[in-house]
Amino acid sequence: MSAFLTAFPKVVRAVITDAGLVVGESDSETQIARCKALWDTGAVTSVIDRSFAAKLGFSPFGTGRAYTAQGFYESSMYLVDVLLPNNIIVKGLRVGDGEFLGFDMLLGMDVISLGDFHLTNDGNTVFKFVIPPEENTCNHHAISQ
Amino acid sequence: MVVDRTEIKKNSDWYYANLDSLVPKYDGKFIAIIDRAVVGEYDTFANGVHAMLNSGHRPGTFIVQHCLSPEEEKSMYFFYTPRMNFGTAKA
Repeated sequence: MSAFLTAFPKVVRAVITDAGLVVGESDSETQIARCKALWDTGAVTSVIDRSFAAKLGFSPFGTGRAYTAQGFYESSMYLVDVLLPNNIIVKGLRVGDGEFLGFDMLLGMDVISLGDFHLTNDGNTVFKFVIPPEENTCNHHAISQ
Repeated sequence: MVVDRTEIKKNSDWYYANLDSLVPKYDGKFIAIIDRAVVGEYDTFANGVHAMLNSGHRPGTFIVQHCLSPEEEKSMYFFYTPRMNFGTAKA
């Protein structure tokens, strides 16, 4: 099991953590481009900022339609390996592109569903992500009461 | 590396124009397209991209599409977050 925990100084409205993208390998050492990632349970898949992808020299290998409540837009599709804050690399992700402010990529449910997503807000926001998921010990009957 | 997107656009337009005939044949598969023709089918996007690159095809000369009906594509690539406005504006 691998986990990381990020404690924000206050209650936050957006969970943004450090992350990374694999940009190459040399002498068997993985080269990483550091970035900021928004964790978004409202996104089915992950998305990279268009200008950030261009800056890293990433090539699009496909296209797709990204749907929102307002309709869809044409998106380029990239193949990326994402480094999570606990140094786990999620390989072979198919991600679209978009335009963001304040972060470089959006980590959607394709990444989040690989582990357990914990968020507490007791005075400040504490975010913990555990991968792989732990055994489900939640007593749903007790919660519903 | 800056990739010329001319062929990507042409192949993508061809893919969407021919979706009605492609989906029954390749439903759910990842298909590689070059010069407006399907040249391979794969189980994952990564497998398709790696196969094409390993065959000597340069980035920008091919695309790998997840062959899905519009309804299925919508369920696979949807953003519920209302404050996100992709493509045209900042968050």
